[in-house]
Amino acid sequence: MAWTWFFRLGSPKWFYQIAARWQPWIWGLTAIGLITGVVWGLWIAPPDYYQGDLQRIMYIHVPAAYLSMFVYVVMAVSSAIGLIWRMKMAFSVAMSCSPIGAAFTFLALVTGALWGKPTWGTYWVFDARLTSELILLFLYFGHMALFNSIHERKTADKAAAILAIVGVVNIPIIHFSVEWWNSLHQSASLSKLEKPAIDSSMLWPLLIMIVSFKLFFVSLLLPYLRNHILWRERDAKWVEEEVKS
Amino acid sequence: MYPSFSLTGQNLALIRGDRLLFKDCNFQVKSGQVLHLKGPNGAGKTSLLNLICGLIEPDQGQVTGEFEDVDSLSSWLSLKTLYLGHQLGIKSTLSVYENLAFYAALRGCDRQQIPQAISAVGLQGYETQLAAHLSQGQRRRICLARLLIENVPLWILDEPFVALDVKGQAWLAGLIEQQVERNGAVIFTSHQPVSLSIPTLELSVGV
Amino acid sequence: MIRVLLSREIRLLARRKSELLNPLFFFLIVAVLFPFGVSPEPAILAELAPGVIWVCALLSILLSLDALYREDFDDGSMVQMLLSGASATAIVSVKALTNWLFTALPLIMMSPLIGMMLNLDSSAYVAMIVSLLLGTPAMCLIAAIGMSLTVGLRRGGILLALLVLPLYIPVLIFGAMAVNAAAMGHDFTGQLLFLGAFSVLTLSLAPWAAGAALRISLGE
Repeated sequence: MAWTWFFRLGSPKWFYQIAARWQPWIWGLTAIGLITGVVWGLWIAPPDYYQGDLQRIMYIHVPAAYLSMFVYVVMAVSSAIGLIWRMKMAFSVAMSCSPIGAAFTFLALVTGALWGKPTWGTYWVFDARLTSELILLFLYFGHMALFNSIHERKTADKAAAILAIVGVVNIPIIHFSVEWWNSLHQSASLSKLEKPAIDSSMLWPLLIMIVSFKLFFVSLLLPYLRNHILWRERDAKWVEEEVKS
Repeated sequence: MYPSFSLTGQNLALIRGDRLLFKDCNFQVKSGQVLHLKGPNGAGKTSLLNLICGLIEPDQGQVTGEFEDVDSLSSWLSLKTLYLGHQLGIKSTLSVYENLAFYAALRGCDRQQIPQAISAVGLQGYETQLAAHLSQGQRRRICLARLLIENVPLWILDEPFVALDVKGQAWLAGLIEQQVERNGAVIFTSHQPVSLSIPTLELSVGV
Repeated sequence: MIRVLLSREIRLLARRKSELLNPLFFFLIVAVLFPFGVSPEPAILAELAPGVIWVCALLSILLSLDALYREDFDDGSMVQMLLSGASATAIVSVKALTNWLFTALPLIMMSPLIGMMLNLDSSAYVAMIVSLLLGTPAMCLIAAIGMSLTVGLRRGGILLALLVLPLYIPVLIFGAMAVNAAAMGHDFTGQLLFLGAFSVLTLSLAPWAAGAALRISLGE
């Protein structure tokens, strides 16, 4: 049973129609989650003992960073599915994840810089997490650049898929290396940017934000993906009918 | 005599860029047969050959094969096929002999046949000449020499008669006939009319 | 088969001996840019030396691989090799091996010269050579993946760097840190172990990935 569903998912037309029905629900849930998380995190939760209200940026920065990696993993997994089971849909998912993941990474970097300016006095420091995020941004850019440079779509799909898989294997290694490198040059104030030993009054809004960001990712992915499918399948009859209606 | 084999293409369709090159393409080539792919320039003959070789994947349909000695299609295509296309694969900084010796060694063939093959294509005396010093036509003849050295059951030839004079064309036709007698097979493209003294299957490529 | 492919690469390189020197001069020139751009003061150079040597080695290896792929791709030799019994994995492995033997090794032999020019601390020379020996295999293999992905593109050079340099960062970190540690008199075996382990990991996975990438590029 599960396998039929899995293979049906591989049909662009089926996905397009199902996604249309799920979309409003996902958007609704995302809106609820984000509003709850933002209000709770930015107003209701207590301020940090050392950093005060500034620390509230964490409610955006940490979920953004977490998502930037989660999306990469999704991209790599769907790339692998595309290569192994030859599913066009899987490649569509992987290509759509790329810009969204890059956006989350960028958000993490920007919020990290905004957090850093009052704390360290400068917008950028080669802190372990920020550096890892920067390298992740390079990986995303490389992925998008490779996909866009190859004219033949089938080739572009497969080449980008291999790159995504090679990247995902390297990400833990890069993480570990950067942390180690950073620990050699660490100064105490930098540790403020790491996740603090967290009290439950802060933990709950943080978790809500993380889950909401995940839903946010899906709500961005679905329309992007549906659009991408329309473009890919533009020669198919069902697309003609869809566009006419 | 080569062991029997057959290569079948079913419902093949291919899109390159945004163009549909061909669809519902079916063919079957068995040992002892010759398949002539016809069609105007740009019809997709070369792409179909690339597809048969396993370099590209079809958008629809599949190529399957039955062989006695090898298990998978991809290894059969690599080991038992000789593909001569537009790009010659001849290194300019290697001599005629060295180029041929490389491919012979890669395929595990006997190097003793190389001097004879070089003579057969009319390049005797050029064995140690670097390919850079030869004309385009002479370099094509190096590729044709490979047909004599590497003994493989399937020849896939893209426009092999082009750039050959009348004598050369007759010679190549003779080679193809000998290949068929050995129970091998040949798939070739040509936009010129070609006359072989053996029955040829024909396939028109294009939408 | 590896032997056949490798002897061909060597023969081709022997016919183009002058090209072998190019990566070495590149290594030298880029390393020398740093004193010009930063400062010629010995103390500052000594601090920069480990990182500069590693970054230059990294760039030289990346750029030299193009010469091994470009011509074979353009004249159809790669397709011919693939259809004449060579597997894609064997082809890329031999190219990476050739790159290592004829670019990385000469580079490593030249590194003491650069070290001397950049005032590298005398206790760090052994660490520099050993770390480069352990790290360059991984670099050649990762470069092979990037090269296989971009060989079909007309202006793939910058894209190649964009794809490969992030993946080089772990090797760079541990390689440069090994030399730094040695310069400061600390133990550096940990870093060397990482480099060795990373090279072994790359050796087991990269040929497959690069081979798959090559087949994809050739199919275009």
